[in-house]
Amino acid sequence: MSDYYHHRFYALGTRIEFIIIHDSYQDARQICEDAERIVSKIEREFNCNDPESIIAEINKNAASKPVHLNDETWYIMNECMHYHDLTNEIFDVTVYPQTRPQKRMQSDVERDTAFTGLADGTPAEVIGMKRVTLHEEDHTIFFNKPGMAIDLGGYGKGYAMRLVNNNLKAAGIDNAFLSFGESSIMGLGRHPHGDCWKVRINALYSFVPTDHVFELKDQSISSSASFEGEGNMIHIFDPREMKFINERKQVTVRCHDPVAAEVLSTSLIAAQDDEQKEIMSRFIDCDAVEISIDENDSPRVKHI
Amino acid sequence: MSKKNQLSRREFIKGLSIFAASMPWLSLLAKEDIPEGRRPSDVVRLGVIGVGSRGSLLMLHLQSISNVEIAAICDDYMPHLNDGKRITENRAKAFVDYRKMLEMKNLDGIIIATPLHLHAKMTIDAMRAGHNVFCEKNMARYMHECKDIVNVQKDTGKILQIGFQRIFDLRYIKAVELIRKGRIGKVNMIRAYWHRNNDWRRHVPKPELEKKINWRLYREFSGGLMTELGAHQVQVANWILDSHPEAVGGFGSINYWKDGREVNDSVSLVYNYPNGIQVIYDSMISNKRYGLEEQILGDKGTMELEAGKIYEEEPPPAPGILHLINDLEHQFFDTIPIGGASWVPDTPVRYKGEYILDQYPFPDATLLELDAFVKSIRANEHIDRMIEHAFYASVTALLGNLAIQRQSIVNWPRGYSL
Repeated sequence: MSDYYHHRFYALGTRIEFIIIHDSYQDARQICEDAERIVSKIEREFNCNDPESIIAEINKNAASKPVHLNDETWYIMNECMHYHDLTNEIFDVTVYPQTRPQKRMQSDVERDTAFTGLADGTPAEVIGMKRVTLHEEDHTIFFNKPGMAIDLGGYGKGYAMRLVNNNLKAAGIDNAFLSFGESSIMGLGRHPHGDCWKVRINALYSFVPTDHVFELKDQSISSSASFEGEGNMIHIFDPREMKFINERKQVTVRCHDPVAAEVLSTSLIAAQDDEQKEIMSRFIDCDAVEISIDENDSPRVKHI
Repeated sequence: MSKKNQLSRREFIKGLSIFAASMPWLSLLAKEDIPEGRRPSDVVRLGVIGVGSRGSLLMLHLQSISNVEIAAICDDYMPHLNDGKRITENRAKAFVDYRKMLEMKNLDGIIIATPLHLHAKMTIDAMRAGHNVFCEKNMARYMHECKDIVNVQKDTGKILQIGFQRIFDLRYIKAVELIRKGRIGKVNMIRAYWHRNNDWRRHVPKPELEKKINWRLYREFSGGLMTELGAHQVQVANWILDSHPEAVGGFGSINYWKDGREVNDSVSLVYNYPNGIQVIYDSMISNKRYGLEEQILGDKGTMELEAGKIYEEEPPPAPGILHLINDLEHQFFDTIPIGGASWVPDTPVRYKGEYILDQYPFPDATLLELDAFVKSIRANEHIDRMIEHAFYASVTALLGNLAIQRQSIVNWPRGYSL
């Protein structure tokens, strides 16, 4: 039997699980507890819904005066800007606070062709990372329009996973399997009885397994779908068109970096075929599949 | 918490019957075959001794119970007595001397809501006079008085109920049921506290009324924080642990309200229960940030009873992870069926706790305990385990005071088991 340690806890609105392959149970437990603290810290500091978080402070003040960012937050905001450019401006952290209240049922969207997806009364001018100014000299952030706000949903889970990965490696863990709510997965090293970790993707919320298997060797996958929840709430927004994506789509991306995987998985949903390929071409060692449901409710897998 | 499941009081009481097997004192409350007073002879006539702030509240509750008549009131402080008369619209017979009230032959029960030091004598006198008694908590000012009360109840066979209303509170009932079913695993510690920021001292119109009105401040009349507040919470601890403590140690002081009062404004105690379980209790009246709470700490989860919440230590594992674990244990190298939609907890943000109950609001527990008293009178049945709960809770609270007074660990006294 392989020596493994299973650690699980709630964080980031979901369940986080680690399977650590180890030589010492005590060490593995300690390493997992340290990793849990890392995730909890990220949650505390970057949850825009927590009034004491760094993001909440930014959202409260950055439209009236530049807000100084610590090194970590400065890094994160710059990386978000970078991904904004790499994804043809689809990835955009200024979108979610405006769209979250307006998540709509699919049935509502089918009836309402004029639906924009913005909270009532929200002008389009408060959306867009171009309206966020990052000032290099003093590491500040400023919002060019009142009413703007940022939310690291679509980035934060990947970032947390990246830090956990770094932490595990630094602690001498070569082989581990990480699951953040089952949509963000990382396979470090390999399965004790194989040469990788093999993950089969389930289709949307039917949990019907597709034929597609990802082999992970120090790689992560991230899945996003245009629908969430049993009631089919649409939640992925294209800030360029200012509308929700209401096609039924699911994208799973494999990358070495979990942040890239997460960013791409939502961005590729909003992009059409040619643009998907164009975006993917900018990322090294990443691949992706798109899963859709055919008229017989069967999953169809397309390589992007 | 959804408000969509509001229940009428009748529906609520009926629903309590499902807990009756493990909490037998509820079975009487849930009974439906007790006459509800269609005939005048079914009216339950009560006398209330002590119609100050608590007594007035009890009377208002009693007035909402069908076929209950407040036939008599008593208070030796005229402003209170006058308030009582107003509440009963002068229909109740008014007394200054409770012994005269006890001579009334047509009373079905006596409610006692007087200062603590009077509880024992009045309760005993009432039972000896042939009356059923509901007395506010604490059972008595001193431990030996609690024993005396129980002995007289046994001798007279009268119905006796003490005002520990949490045993009729559905949050607590449900919580205890879940604990018994192992929802939070093994309970390893309980922490409880009650913090307020208020001056117990009341305005006194004449100096000679100081001890009458401010009885809570004087040791002769009052058990202080432990009997005024803590008794409720140690009763909950006893209920959950199904035991009384074996010993207790702690401290108390007057560190803020230094106005000549004798009772502590701050207490901290550790009660030691069987199997090494500690109940840690503190109470103060110079800071209200944390309010009150009972935290039940189990190896699988935590409950906060005042907030009505339960927190699991760990989420359930993903099916895909269980599949992986099985493979590891059997040395299989197989595909892990896990990637896909993001898991959301069954209840939103479950890690921030879920509510123990989804029915809100539910009937006031004080109203329910009075309802239970009235029903027990009508049915001429004792409320099962009521005296046991009340006795042990009262002695537990008083034992805490003794430990503080002696500044040493005190053991559960011999001869104080029912």
